[in-house]
Amino acid sequence: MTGAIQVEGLVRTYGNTRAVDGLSIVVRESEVYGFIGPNGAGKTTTLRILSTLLAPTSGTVTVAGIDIERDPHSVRRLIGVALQESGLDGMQTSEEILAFHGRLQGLRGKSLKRGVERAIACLGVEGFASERISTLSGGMKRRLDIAIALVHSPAILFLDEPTVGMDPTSRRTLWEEISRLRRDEGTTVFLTTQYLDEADQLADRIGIIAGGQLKAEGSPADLKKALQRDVVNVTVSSRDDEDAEQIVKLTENNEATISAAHSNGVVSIQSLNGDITMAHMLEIVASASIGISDISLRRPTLDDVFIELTSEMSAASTGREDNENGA
Amino acid sequence: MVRDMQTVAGRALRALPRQRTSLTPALFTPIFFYVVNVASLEHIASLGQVPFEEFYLPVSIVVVAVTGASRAGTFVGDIATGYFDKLCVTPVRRSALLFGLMIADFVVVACLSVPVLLIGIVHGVRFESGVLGILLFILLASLWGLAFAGFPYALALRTGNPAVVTSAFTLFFSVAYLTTAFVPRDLLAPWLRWVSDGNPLTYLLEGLRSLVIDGWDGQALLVAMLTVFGVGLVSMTLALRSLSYRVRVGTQEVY
Repeated sequence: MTGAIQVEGLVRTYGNTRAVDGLSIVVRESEVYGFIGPNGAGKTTTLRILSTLLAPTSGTVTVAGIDIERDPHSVRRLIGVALQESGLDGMQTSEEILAFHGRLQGLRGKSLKRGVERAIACLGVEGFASERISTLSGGMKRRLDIAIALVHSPAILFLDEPTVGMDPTSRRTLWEEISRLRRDEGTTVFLTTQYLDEADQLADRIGIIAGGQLKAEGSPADLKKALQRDVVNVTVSSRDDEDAEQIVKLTENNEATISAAHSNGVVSIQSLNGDITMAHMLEIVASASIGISDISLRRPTLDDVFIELTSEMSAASTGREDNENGA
Repeated sequence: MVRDMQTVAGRALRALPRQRTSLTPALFTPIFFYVVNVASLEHIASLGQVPFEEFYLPVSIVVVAVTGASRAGTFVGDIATGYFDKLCVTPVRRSALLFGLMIADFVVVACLSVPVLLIGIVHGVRFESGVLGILLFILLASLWGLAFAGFPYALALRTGNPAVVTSAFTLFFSVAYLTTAFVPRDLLAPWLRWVSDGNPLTYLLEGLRSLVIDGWDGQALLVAMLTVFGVGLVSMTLALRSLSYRVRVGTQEVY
């Protein structure tokens, strides 16, 4: 399969530490790929390699079909990058820095003017376009930083934790802009984030990285489905623990049930298939004549998937450390 | 490459009117030393037929390049804030990031040389080489500024530390006086003459002085040009190596 970004067996070490450890991913054209993981998982290192800032220790990476080690210059013409820890030149105005970066990208004359105007408009930078950058707030600088990455209409956009420090309105504006870029201009977006709702909202596919390795990959829906852990909550009208206990016992026999428990008249059932459990629950309460005031089904969130996968990783590494200490 | 350099130089030059606090000392210091040293020494340091204000003027011009006209601080700031990385993900040629700023330095030194020169002329300095000599004097001084600039850039790129770059300027400033700053070589103490003979500034000053005092001295000018070229070669090599190092390691190493 060919993709806008292809990573094969990527390794990056710092001394004895393997920050990225055999990573292989394919990001398709015009796709928003969310790259999530806990702190120190290797997200930023990966993004810095893909955006030609860092050389890989081993492995191959192609961006838009170009090998980043053989021809990084051509790659840089096709990408826009907004880094997590990127400062801006405070002596320039927003408009000047956009024009400066447009020129560095080879834009001149009308195309430069159009690029600057477009970048200003798409992220709502108009209000402070002529202000010196040193006078802007952190959120404004972040928006400007992303506008700079867009000034030359890149085919592939790398965003490292783009909404950190943004207010909810700016965050929503950026989400809409990313969706528009993908939909209207076919831009491929590689996005790292720690906000799982952001990945859930924006990404066509998500890669979860921990310890420098890819732990899971798929669409948000597929990842949640793979977790196979719906939760059905039933509130007993009487708030009577005996009724709740009866429901728990009757539910435990159902093949979809993983576990069931109750507290304060609320029965909580973890299920492999919430729809089956829900239907079964309704049959139980009807046949046992137990009154219920509420029944709800909660699908797994991306948070559940993330915690499941990264806690497995933590447990595995703790176990490994224990073995090493024991040996 | 040329367009990249123009763009980078444009950014630096555009910022100049907003950096008055850094330009003021670069202009004030050489003028201050010129006025004070000439006032203090002109009566005791008259060198035969050569007025001291003419002998000393080239020193002040050379000091312009040493007292902080360099944009090396821009690099330090860019590295410290991570903006350097943002520049490195653009298709700009890496060397243009350096040479673009150096072009700005060349322009700054040329511009700062003019008021220093005017102060000298007001003091009574006359150029034996005429108007063309004055232009060559400014060109040579600016080329020296360009050649010298490589050292602070090398340090800025290697360390990314503003304190190191600032202290380097202080060190270079002292080197400017380990030469024929106040008297000709044959009047220096033997040890200082020996140091002065090895100091490239000596030959630059002699070339600049020849334009003021002697008229057109081809040999002195050629030696001065070769000196500037030699210093430039060393400083540029160091600066390019530091640039290569900085591009390789980036501004930070993160997981």
